Amino acid sequence: MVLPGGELRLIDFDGMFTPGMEGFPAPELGTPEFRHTRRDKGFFNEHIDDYPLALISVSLHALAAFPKLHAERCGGENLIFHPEELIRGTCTLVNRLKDHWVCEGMNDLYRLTSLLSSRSPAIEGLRSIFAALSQAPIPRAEGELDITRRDGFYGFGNIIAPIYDDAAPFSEGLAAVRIMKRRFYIDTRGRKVIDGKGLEDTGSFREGLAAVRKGGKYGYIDTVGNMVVAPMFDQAHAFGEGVAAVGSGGKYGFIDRGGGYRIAPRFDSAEDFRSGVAVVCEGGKYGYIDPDGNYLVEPVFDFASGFRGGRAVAEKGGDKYVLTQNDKTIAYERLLGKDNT
Amino acid sequence: MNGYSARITRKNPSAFIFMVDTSGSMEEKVEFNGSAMSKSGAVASIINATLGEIVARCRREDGYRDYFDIAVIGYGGDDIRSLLPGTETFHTPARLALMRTKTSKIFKTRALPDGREAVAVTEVKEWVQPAALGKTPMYAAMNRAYDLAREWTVKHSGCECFPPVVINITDGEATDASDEDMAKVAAKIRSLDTRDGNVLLFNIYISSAGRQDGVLFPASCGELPDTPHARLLFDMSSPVPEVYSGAVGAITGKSDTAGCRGVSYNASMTDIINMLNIGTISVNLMS
Repeated sequence: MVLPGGELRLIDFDGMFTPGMEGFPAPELGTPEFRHTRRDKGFFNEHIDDYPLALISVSLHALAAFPKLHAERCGGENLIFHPEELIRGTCTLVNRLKDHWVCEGMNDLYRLTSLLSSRSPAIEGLRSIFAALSQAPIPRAEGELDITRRDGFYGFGNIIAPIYDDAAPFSEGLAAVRIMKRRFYIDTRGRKVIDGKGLEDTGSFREGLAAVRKGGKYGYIDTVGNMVVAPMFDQAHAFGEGVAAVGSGGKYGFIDRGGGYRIAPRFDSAEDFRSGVAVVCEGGKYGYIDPDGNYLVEPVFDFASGFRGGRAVAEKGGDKYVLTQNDKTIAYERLLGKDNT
Repeated sequence: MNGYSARITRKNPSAFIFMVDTSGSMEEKVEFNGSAMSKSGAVASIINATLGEIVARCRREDGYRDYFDIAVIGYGGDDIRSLLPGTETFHTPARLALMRTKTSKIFKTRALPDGREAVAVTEVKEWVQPAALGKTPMYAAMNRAYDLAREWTVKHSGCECFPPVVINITDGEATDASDEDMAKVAAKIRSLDTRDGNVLLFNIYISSAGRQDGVLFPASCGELPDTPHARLLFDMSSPVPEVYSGAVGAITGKSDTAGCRGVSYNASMTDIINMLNIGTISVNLMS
């Protein structure tokens, strides 16, 4: 290379790739402790440093979080990893780290760490992950955390990077997510708040409780993950107006926040309470009850809709009825429609 | 606020459950798109076109959005089964879009002003394959649809979701239950609700080949043939909410669509397409 002053300087191109070198075999392959196991003489392009960059970056992040790893894992030549273990899938440290990043909501670091098991020495998307890593995460309101989907993974807004196999919307500051078979709840910064170990289904939080399934039955957990209503129901609605409809043995009732029955299970079906009224079906007929389980309208209808805007419709013997709610009473009249005149 | 007004978002999605009669009588030949084919073949192709439309409407720059959970249940012989590939019954638009399926080419010719013909070719996915065998276990199928809709509404309880829409396409009467039981299971389905509204149930009864007297969205039983079966289908079907009234008015010519039921009797293949277009009108509520 000729410097501006006319001076000649020799440059060591070993281990380097520039566009003019395309088509030549790689003059060297890099240090085994840092290079991808499939890097060979034929692999010589702008991606030769992808794997070492990812490996060194994850290593430094890991050492910053866990300085003791250096003493445990550094053998002199490497930092904390051995590429052949990573690529063969036998490195246990990498799984512990991924777990930690997920718990801390460091999803971009999780994505980068996942790339260390890449089957190919060329890593697509590395630049975008490094760009995301250099920006500090900003906590946001739930409204800005709509579910997003990229490359088959779910995330939230532009804030919580897409690493989840499944995700439910945020509710009351928490969202249920799943990676493989692991279910847990995260906060609006993406940090794991509740470990859903052993749970087969995780519902959204309403009024501080979420329906979850364990051993085939539904119960409810609180916002710190305690099972406050033991799993014993076949079906469990979200809480609303202080109660939740639950089904067990084909009958439905309503429980309170303590898990005790507010209204004993005697209905064929039951919908949620809204403005103090719920539709239930008993003996094959539909009616409306109050939160104490007393009928506001006896179960006489073949069909009854829920109340919306103070109105509901019902049917009996082919006739249509309109119901109106006034505070705690419900009035209804037969609709003189085209069919009833 | 009388409901059925929720914006459909990824936070508040909705669902479609299509029920398709796959009993032996669906082998009967009908005329569809200018050629003779079985009812089952025509219905499968109409369902596939509808799925294709829903998937296309959910497409955004960054991929397909999970605005809907979609199920297609077939019933025929002793069998109630999902007609979509995979172990799960509900599928998201993204899953449907990525699914490997058979495809078919649709040729549409139109005459150009100068008399020449132009041919447009579109390739469509065939998620659903036609089937026609045995009896009509519509009661069992309705119960399956109820379980699916129930599971969905429970999962979304407390959410402001546009309620699931169940659309049943049949050319016969249930062979596994009485009219009374059919009315009961229909009421069960319709009684399920979200904060936005009760689950909607539409029924489409396909005519025998060649009939041209189909009735769509009748406001009373008087508009239908005076048979117990027609009365049953009318009673089983949901009155169409306000959000459908423009489209229902346009197809029926009625200025007042109050009380019109989501039912079609003696439907031709074209009537089915119209019914499905209107039945899936909630795709217009996507944000």
